[in-house]
Amino acid sequence: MTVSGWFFFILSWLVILGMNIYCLKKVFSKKELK
Amino acid sequence: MKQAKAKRDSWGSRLGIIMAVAGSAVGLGNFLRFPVQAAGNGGGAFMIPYLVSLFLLGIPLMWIEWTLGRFGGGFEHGTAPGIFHSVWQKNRFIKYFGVIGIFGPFVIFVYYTFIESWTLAYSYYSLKGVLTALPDQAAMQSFLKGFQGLEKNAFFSGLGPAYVFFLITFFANIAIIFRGIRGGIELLCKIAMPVLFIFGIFLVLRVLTLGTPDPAKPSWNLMNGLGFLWNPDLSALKSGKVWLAAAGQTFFTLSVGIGVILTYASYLSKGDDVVLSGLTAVSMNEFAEVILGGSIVIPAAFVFFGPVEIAAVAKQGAFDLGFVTTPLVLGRIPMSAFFSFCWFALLFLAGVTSSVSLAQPAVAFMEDEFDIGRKKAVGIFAAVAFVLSQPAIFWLGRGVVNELDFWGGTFCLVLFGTVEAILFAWVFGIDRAWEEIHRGADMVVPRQYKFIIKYVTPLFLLIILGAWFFQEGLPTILLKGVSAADRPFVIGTRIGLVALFAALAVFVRIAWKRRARRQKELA
Repeated sequence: MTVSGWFFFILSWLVILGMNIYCLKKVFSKKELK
Repeated sequence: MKQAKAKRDSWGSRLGIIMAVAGSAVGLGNFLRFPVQAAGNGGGAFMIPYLVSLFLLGIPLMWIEWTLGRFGGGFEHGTAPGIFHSVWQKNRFIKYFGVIGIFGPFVIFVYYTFIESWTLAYSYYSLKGVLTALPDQAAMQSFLKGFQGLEKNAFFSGLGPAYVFFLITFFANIAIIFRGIRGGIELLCKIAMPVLFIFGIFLVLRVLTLGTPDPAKPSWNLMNGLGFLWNPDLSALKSGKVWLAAAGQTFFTLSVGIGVILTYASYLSKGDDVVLSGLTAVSMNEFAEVILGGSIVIPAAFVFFGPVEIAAVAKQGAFDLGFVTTPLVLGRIPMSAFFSFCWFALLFLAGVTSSVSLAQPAVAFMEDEFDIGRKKAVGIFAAVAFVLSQPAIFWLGRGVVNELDFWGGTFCLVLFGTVEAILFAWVFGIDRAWEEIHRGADMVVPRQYKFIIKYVTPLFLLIILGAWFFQEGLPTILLKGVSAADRPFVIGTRIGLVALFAALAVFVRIAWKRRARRQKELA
């Protein structure tokens, strides 16, 4: 894999994992359904 | 004395509805369609238009559907005809347009359960060691065709085994829907989704530790396999086709434009958050697609087939990739039966969490608009869906499934998504929409999204709709590429679909007349 391949691979993983961590952390710290 | 209307079903927990929406979105396309699209449209560079589309199209549409669904639920409408009518009460015809939100998922359900049943069957054949013993592509193809009843061969003498697996799958779906939102769909998704992710992580770890299995072919290694998928071809970004492919992938992967999310969100209360929940469902789907889907099939196939054959593999249709190539690849690694089982069980769980969601709009329509009890509504749904599934099973090789997929799974989605985005931003009004999105919200949507939802998302969808119609829609409508022998089957399917749509429109008319009569009586 080339350096630019690694760049896109890592960037995509970071964006998706970041979104998941951010959302799940918030979901578990916020209120339940009414 | 008239009986009081039964209380609508509801979600038991916030994670429950998030898992259910993510379960509806995560399907075979995450694991099979995404890697093929990425590999064929610029590799790593594909992620630029993909992520742009996700943020400008996918996420806004997800918020729009959650918000519209919750809004309609407040008027005791769980399906698009009622939800659209609640948004645009002055328009007499918008409710008929909403029929697409029941018709589309029902049509997909009719053929999807059959395909889903193949994954259950292949899980079974994996554990029995039958699949992993097949030596090459030709044997695997022959096995698949025999199983589907397309030919009689050494593996199968008829459709019997496939039909048994279809019956199991179909009635498993019905049993889940029968148990309702909280006790059926929510419970299923809360168990199935974590299991799906565990199977997916198992497979990713196995693929990422493949190294160089054949020392005689040192270039057939994992790093080059990942490189095949991720090395960017930046010149692809100049191609409109690549941008369109990325936007289409984002749209189809999230299950937006079907009508299912509207129905699911209608079971929320007025003050429940939709912003964070919608975004979380998107994130989970993307995890399944980019992290899991992008790391299993293509890199593993490269390691075992090499740089020349992989190009042909990447051009295969999703079915061949999933049912022919992947079991062959997994058959070559230690503990092949276990990993092959993990793969097909993963696809089955992705399938069943999607198919139960496809059934829900039709069931909700009967419950909400005709006051039919859940058990009876599910019984009617099961009887009609079972009968209409038969042409998809027995005439699979005659183009029936392609025709159903075109109308139910593609045309209706793009059209429905475009109209609901315009309805939300322009008819409901962006200021009112903005306020409705933020009702009970646990996070604030960035202000830029007000502009995006009003202008960018509808425009993006109109471009996709137009381009798709001329590139793929028109040739399919004009039966291009359909053989003379298959034409009667395809045309018959099309007539049946028109009749189904018309019947649903008549039911909407009856329901509204009934509602008006009841309101008069109460007044």
